[in-house]
Formats: sequence, structure tokens, C-alpha cells
Amino acid sequence: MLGLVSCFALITTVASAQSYDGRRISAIQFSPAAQPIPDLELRESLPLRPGDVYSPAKLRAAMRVLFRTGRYGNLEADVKTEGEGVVLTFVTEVNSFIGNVDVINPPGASPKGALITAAKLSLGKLFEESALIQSTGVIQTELRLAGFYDANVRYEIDRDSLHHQVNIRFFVEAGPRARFSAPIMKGDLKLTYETLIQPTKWMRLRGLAGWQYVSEQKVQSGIRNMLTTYRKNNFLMAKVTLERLDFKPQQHVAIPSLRVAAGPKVQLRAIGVKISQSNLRRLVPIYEEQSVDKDLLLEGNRKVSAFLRGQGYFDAKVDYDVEQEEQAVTELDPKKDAFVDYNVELGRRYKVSALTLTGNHYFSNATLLERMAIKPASVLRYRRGRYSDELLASDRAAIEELYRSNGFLGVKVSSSANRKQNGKAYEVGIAVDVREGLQTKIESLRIEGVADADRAVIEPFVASTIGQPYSLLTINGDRDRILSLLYDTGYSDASLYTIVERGDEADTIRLIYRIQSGTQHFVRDVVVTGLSKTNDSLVNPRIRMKPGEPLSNNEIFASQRRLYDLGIFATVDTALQNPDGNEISKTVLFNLEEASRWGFNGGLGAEIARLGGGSVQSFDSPGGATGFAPRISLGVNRMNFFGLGHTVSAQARLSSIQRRVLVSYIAPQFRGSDHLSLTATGLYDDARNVRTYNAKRLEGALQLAQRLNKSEFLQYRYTFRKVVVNPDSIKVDPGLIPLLAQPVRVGSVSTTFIQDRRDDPADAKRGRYTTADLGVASQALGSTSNFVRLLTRNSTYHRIKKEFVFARSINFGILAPYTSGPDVPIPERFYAGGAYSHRGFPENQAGPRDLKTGFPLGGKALMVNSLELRFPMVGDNLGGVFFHDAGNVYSELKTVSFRWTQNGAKDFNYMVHAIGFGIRYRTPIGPVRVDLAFVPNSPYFNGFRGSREDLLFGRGTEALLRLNRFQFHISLGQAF
Amino acid sequence: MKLWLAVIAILVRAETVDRLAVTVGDQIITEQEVMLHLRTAAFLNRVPLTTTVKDKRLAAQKLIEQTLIRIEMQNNNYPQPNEAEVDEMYNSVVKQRFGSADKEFVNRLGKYSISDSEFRDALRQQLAILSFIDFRFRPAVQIPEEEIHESYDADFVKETPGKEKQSYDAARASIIEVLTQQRIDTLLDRWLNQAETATRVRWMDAVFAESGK
Repeated sequence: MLGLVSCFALITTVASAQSYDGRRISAIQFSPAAQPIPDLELRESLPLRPGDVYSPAKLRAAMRVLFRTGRYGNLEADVKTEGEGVVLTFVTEVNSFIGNVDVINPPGASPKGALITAAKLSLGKLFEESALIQSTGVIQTELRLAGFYDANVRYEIDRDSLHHQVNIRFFVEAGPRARFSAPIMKGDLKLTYETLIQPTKWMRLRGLAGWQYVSEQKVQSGIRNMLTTYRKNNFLMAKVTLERLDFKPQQHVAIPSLRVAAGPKVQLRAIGVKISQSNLRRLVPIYEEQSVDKDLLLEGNRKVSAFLRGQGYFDAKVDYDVEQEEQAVTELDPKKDAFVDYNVELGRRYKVSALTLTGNHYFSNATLLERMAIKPASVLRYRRGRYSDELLASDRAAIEELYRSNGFLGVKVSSSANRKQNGKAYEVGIAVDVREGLQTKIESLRIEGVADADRAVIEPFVASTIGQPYSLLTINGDRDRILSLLYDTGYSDASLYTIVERGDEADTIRLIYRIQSGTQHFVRDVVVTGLSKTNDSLVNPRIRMKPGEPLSNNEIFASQRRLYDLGIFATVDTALQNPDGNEISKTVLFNLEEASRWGFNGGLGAEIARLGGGSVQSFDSPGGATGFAPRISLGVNRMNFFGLGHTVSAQARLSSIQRRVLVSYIAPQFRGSDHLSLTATGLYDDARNVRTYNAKRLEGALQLAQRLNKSEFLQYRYTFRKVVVNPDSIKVDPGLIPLLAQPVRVGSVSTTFIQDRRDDPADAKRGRYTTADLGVASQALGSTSNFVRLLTRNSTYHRIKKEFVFARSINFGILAPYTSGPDVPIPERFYAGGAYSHRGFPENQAGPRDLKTGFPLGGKALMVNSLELRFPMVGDNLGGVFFHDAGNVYSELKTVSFRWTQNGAKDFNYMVHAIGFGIRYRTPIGPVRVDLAFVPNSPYFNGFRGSREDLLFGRGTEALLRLNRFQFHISLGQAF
Repeated sequence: MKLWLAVIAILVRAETVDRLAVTVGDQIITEQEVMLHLRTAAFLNRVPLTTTVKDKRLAAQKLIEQTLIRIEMQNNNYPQPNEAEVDEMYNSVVKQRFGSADKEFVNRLGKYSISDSEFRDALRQQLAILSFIDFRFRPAVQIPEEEIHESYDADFVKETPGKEKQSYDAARASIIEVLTQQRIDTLLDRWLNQAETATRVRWMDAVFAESGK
């Protein structure tokens, strides 16, 4: 009987599949009951429903659908009879996906991020444990390449069954790092061992401190440097190959074995013209290719010729010959040294005197010239113009492209060069002729593949309109915007086909946008991993997508940006779980790597400027004297304080003229808002010899900054500061010292409005910049005096033609006591002058001065107006500026004057003018600036020759002094 | 009594009607498809059905290759055979193997547990594959004239008793076809190997284990 049972069991698998054929399905179940796909979505996706007739083919179709969701590693279908019908059960084995990947204890030389990338375990992809063995091996290899030959790597996994993902941690025991040892070099070196080993930088301090740590990167760069050394010595065909890198475990060293073949010496010469070796080496590609053959030498011919044409030698003839053992050869013998001579007949040097455009009606000359690289000669910038055949060809192509993108499909652009422009033999005129042809226009526009309601949503995003020129550029823009809109609303598989048909009228087209929106996807869940110190409440509000909402790529990227903007994450990785799976709803993953919470910085520097006048002992140079002040700065940051994304930092700056410590607490995105940030700062500043006195300043401030829109900001601030002036340092009339030496307390509330619409804050060419700061200091806020402070600035920038910029700026400020009582303390007054202010004065030297010593005292009103004309000079990087600065610091508002002349040495309330010329050299961090100003009406003032002692005891001499009429400033960035 | 209860329990318990046998990328081959392939092959070859593990593995391998071809056809929009072509092949097979679509054919289909629609599907699949092979590989095959000569010299020049010797011109077309087919087979094998390597193929051990069915 048992035999009968087992026999029955054996024959069921095949036979039973047929036996249920035609019966109705009474229920569909899943085992286990909890499935990774929501029940409703799962059942709706199946092509089988309760009540359907069962068939093996339909069952296979259902299994296919389930498998294509990507959620299942294995599936089995069971059937049980229930009355007349059958109950179908899908037994599932659920897949897991890759979650957070972390590397614990990576050595400093192999950054964690690099090891995680090497492991190739992409967030959200299918997890397979077998892949971890491979990843472990890859990490081990990476460590070995960094010199950790004894590194051990193991992994642990942590399954998150709720989110069907696996978090993976690799544990690294790096062990000691190997160092280089003396390399073995075999072959024909031609250069000495020492000459070759030095540039590899494999030795520390040229061998005095032993050998460097090994890394693949250092091995490769060392070999590259050896090849460079060979090239510098004209061994162009030298070859250096790494045969082995032998690790000696006992000594913990790795010995590179190199095979070297120096090859022959090949020297390049330019005959008949002076071309620098560096230019020649750049032009003739034998250096780059490390090979000498006919093709490369001919390429050199072409490039040298083009180079000379670029210099104006349009008729230059270039030919090369190769010489070995003083014999001209046609084929190079690779065993013998050689000279490669480029023989040049320069011919006449031309100048591009005219560039004319004809036939262009749709676009103006200015529009086309803006797109052209060819330039006619100009006084400063292009003395011979800019021209070469290659540039002219690319200009023609650029003009044709511009016309085509505006519907002129048959445009033709031709050019010619006239060698005797204006009848002069050395002048060239370039004529560019445009045959525009007819402009094709859009006759009709249709959007297909979407419902009427959706079409109404899409239409505002379409820039192409009926009657408009047919433009591929506009069509591509339409496509991007429409697809972006669809992607944003969950149609991540959407596609758009553009169909262009000939219109009924001549030169018209019918434009059809055919949309295939595909399936709309939704957010199933949002899973965040990788948080260790950071508070969830900081992260979650910044991910603004909710389960059930359409899946929007834009919102995913916006959330990623918001998280990056916190500044506390080294990486914010985002992905969809099971990206290739065919599911309606998707789980969105955010895997965060917290950045190091401690940051340190330090620097050394120096200031060279007119740093103020004299010392405590000497009252000489009240108008400032050039000084040198070495400086050291140190800083420490603690980011992500309390896991809230706040930053605490302390910065210290020590120099011979200043001791300054700034402690700040910054809460960006305050209370979860992108638009608000809160900053609390504490400052200790002990400034010496900068102005008329030495002062210690203690300041605390609390500021809330609000971003109103992309270009406008508001700041609200409470500041309390105490300034103690060292009475021994004050360089003024002794009678005023008791008054000025009083400790000053200022408690104020202020608000600042900033509008920044400049195209480039470092070097603006158009736009405007406005600031207005209004503050009230009051005894009620802890101030020793009551006054209102207003300081405004308005700057605008205007392009003149393409290359000139006219810039203007005005600064205006007033300090107004609003009650009787103590005056505005001297440290609170306005000071002006210097590279970023009125360039007719040294730093902070404008305005009223002490009538005995001549040192600046500051004022209660400020007005400085600056005008600049910025223009290019030589090439693209060197520019010039003509400027005019006018204004001063005035005693008070009512003394503000436009008067040119100074009424005696006690009058400082007049307008000082400075005209000057400056040079700007463009660098990646902004222009380096040198300004020279001439000040025709620089102020005279009474000064004192002698020391403080001399002044107190009536010694020393009074002198009538004048600020130097020439001032120079060296700094970084434009003046405003 | 207990034994009978056990038998009844087995009779009413859920039984597995199908399960995954192989996965090919995001496509699946179920155990029932493997069995159907074996039954169809046995039916067409008029041999008894055998379902050893080895048979199942060979059948699954064939189905993997068919799936790879199907994926390629879908991705690149290759033409599918139409119903008329399927009908023509159906009639041709029936006529060739059973004389006509008579009772014997229907009986034999039933004996092998194959439905008429399943049989037609198998033929449709065959037609699609043949069409794919032709479209994909035939244009790439060029037979040099020397090779045709070599083949003629090797296979046609010898005098065979009782057989008339064919001239080169008469034999050329058939030589080209034979050589072309050989090349196509080589190209197809190479392509299948590459496609299989590039696609994640997973065999379900339970289906192909010695003790499994």
C-alpha cells in the first residue's frame, strides 16, 4: 500500500497540471501572506482573477508577471480543490536588495568612499551573497594597490526584512603599509640611475628620510616622471615598463623591477624662425605619441604652419627633414640619434584689417560677430587680429548652425580672404558671405498620445508655435520640458517622438509631438539608511515625497540637494529599490554617509600694505606707511552638532597687528526652512596699529538670515559689543585721550537688505548689487550712546558692446545720535579708503583727522562714488581699468560736500577725487588687481614729528603733511 | 484506517502544478514548459516520452536558447510569423508525419497530453526562430569562390559508381547553401554563447535534482 502512495506522489507533478484545466478559480492566495508588493497592486497586476477558468498557459502568464516585478527569486504554484473550483496559491521566495554599504576601519591612504565604489554594490540593486565574495576580493586588491599587502577584509550582513534590503559592512584590518625599495632597472638606460630615480619621487627628501609608501598611483606617476625626464633629454622614444612589483614581507618593502629602453636622441629644431622649444614640442606630436614616424612629422608640418598663420604669416611654408649621422634620411633608424628640422620660410606678416559680413538679413552683424572667433586687428588686444583657416571654418559652421536652428535649413556660408585689403600688401580682409535661403516655418502643431486634460497641462510647456521658424533647438527644448513634466508626475518610462511632415504651403512643416507616457509610477515607501549621529528629524522633513504620490525624479533630486545643503553628509546616494522590476509603486532609497564632524584648518600669510602710521613711540607717518605683517590662522569646526546639522566653529587669526578669535554657532535651514538660517557669534579682537588707536573688542551677535528669493536676502541682527581702547596707544591730542579712552558699549538691533543680481559676483559684467543696513543703538539695548546707523551701497554693471564693462558704485552712510548725551564713539565711526573703498586713500585714511597728530578719527557721514571702465587688453586673461573715485568720510551729514578744494589743513569735509588705471589678471579665484591712483586734491593736514613723550612734554615739531598724491593697491577681485 | 486517512489527505492537499525551472534575465521557463517541450519532441519524433534529469536539462537548455532569441527579437522588433505561415507549417507537419489531420494525429496529441493550441504555439516558435536566424545571420555570410571550388574538389570530383558526376556550375548553388548553413550554425552558436554569458541565467536546483521530477 505504501508503494501505491509513493507511486501516486511520483506521477502528480506532470499529470495534475492538466487535471485542473477548465475548472474555475475560486480564490488566489499567496504564501507567505505578507508580500513585498501591496496586496491590491499585486492582485491587479495578475492576469488571473478569482472566477477565471484555470489553464496551465494562464498560470504561466501569471508567474511571468510575478517574476518580472523583480521581487521574487523563486515561484511555485499550488492548486487545491475546493468544491467545484480550485484554490490557487503562489508560494514565493522574496528577493532582497542592496542597502547601506559601509567600510569599517579603512586606512587613511584608501578612503572609505573609494573602497565602497570599488565594491560595486549599487544601492537598490538585487542582493546576491555570492557577489560579496567578489567585492571582498576587490577591496583587498584596492588595499594592496595602496601598499597594504597583508590586509584582511571580511564582511557582515544585516537583513532588514521590513524593507527587503540588506545592509553590508566590510571590516578592514589593513596591517602595515609597504614602502618602496631601490628599484631594479634593466636595459639600455642612457641616463644615470640617480637621474632617473629622483623624478619618480619614490624617495622621501631625496632619500634622506628613506622611501615613500607604495601605491599604484605612485608607481604609475613615478614611471610617467621617468618618461618625462627622458623626453626632456630628447629621448622621445624611451619606453619604461613595470615588469614586477615584488613585495618582501620580512622587510615590508616592494621592489619595482623596470625594463627601460632609452632609444635614440631625437632633437627638434626650427630653422628660419624662432619658435620656443616648448611650443615646438606642443606642435609636433612626436612627444605626445612617443614615436617618430612620417605621419606624425607631417602632422607637425600642418600644426607649425597653422601656428605661424595664427601669428599672421599666412604664406609661411613649412617642411621637415630628418638627419642621422649628418646625413639626410627618409626613414628613421631607431638605433641612431636624429635631428628633426622644421625649415620655415616665413614670408610676409599680415594683419587682419577687416572682417566683413554680407548677405545676412535675419541676423545683424553684431549677432554674428559675437559668435565668431576670427577677430580683426585692434589696438591692444589683437594687434594683428586673430585668424586661421581652422578658426574660419569653425566660424562658418557656427553661423550655419545658428541659421539652421532658426529654420534656414538651406543656409550656405562661404568665406574668402583678400590679401591686399585697402591696397596694402600686408593687410588681409576676411569676407564672409551668407546665403540665407528660405526660412521654414511651422504650419501646424499637434500633441498626440495624451488625453485632452493632460494636453492642456502640457501645452504651456511647449515653446514651438504656429508661424514660428522651425528650430531643432526649440523642438529639443520642448522635448526636454515635456519629458521632464511627465517624469515629474511618475511617468518615468515616457518617451516623445517628433514627427515633421511637409506642410501645405511652401517652406512650411507640420509638427507632431507623439507622446508615449507608459505606466505611471508611485512612491511605495521611502527608506533612509546610513544615519548614525544625525537626528531623523533633521533628515525626514527634507525628503518631501510621501507614499502614494506620483514618483517624481525631480523631487528625488531636490530632496538629495536639500540633504547635501545641510553640509553634514559626505555623500547622499539615492536610488530606486529594484530599479529594473516591473512594479507600479517603487521604494525610494536614500543612503547617507555622514561627513567627518571635526574639521581643522590652518594657514600662514602676510599683509603688505599701508598699515597705519608709526608706533606708540613714533607719531610719524599718520597717513600710513607701507608695512609687513606676518599672519597665522587656525580654525576648528564641529559639524552636525547634537545631530541637528548645526555647526560650531572657532577661528583664530594672529598677526603682528591683530589677534582675533571668532566663535560661531550656525543653524542652517533653521526650523526646517530652506530660507532661514540662524547664526550666533562671539568675537574677541585685539587690533593694533591698524588705525589711530589699539583696541580690544568683545562682541556677541545673533543673526537670523532670510532668503526672500533667488537674489534678495534680509538679515535681522542683535549685536552687543564692548570696545576698550588702550589709552597708551591713542595717537591724538593728549587733551582728547581721556574722552576717547573711555570703554565703549554698543547694543544695537539692525536689519540688512541685500539684492544681488550680478551675473558673476567675483567679476560682474552685468546686473546690480544693492545693500542697505539700518541699525539702532540704544541705551535700552545696553549701549552707552544712542544713535542710528544707515549704510547703503548700490552698484550696477553694464556691458558696452561685447568686451567693455561700465561699472558704477555709490556708498552712502550716516551716523546720527538721536538723544543728547555721549557722541558716537570713535570705534563706531565710519572709516574709508583702500583697495575696496576710495582708492585715493590708503586703508582707512579718509576723513577727519586729529588736528595735532594728523591721525584719522573717523566721521559720521560717508559718501564714496566710483566709476570704472573695464576693458580687455592682451589675450583673454589680461584686462585694464580706468577708474574715478570721488568722496570722503565727513564729520557729519550736514558737512557732506561736493567741494573740490580743501579750505586749509583743518578742513576734511570736501570731496577727494582719484583717477587711475588698473590691471586685472584673470585667475580661477577672481582677477588679481593692481590699481594706481592719482589724487590731485589729496588732503593736507597737521602732523607731528616726534614721539608720544615729545608730544606730552612739548618737544617734537609740528609739520604740515599731505597724503601722497599717488596711491597703489594690490588685491584680489574687482574693487566693487 | 490511518493509512487510508493519509491517502485521503494526500488526495485533497494542495499540489504543485508548476514552478520555476530556469530564469533567463527577467524571463522564466517553468517546469511545465520543460515537460511540454519534452512531450512535443517525443510526439514529433514518434518516440516514447522519457523525463530523466538529463532529458529535462537538455530540454531546458533548448528553451534557454529559444528565450534568448525571443528576447533579442522583442528588443529589436524582428517580424513574427503570421497565422497563415503557422497554418502552412501545421498542415505540412501533419501531412508529413501522419498523412493528414486525421484521428490518429488527434489521438497521438492526446496521448502525449498536448493540446492543439500548445502544438500550434510550438510551431509558431519554431517559425519565429528560423526567421530570426535567417534575418540575423544570413546577410553576414559570404562564401569566397575559392572555398566553393575547394568544396567541389573535395566532395564532387570523385567518380561515384552509379552516380553521374555533376559539373561545377550545376553543383555550385547547393554547395553555397551547404556552406552558408554551416556558417550560419557557427554564427548562431557563437551568438548564443555570448548572449547566455551576458544574461543572468539561473537554474533551479530543485527541478533538476536527481530525486526531483
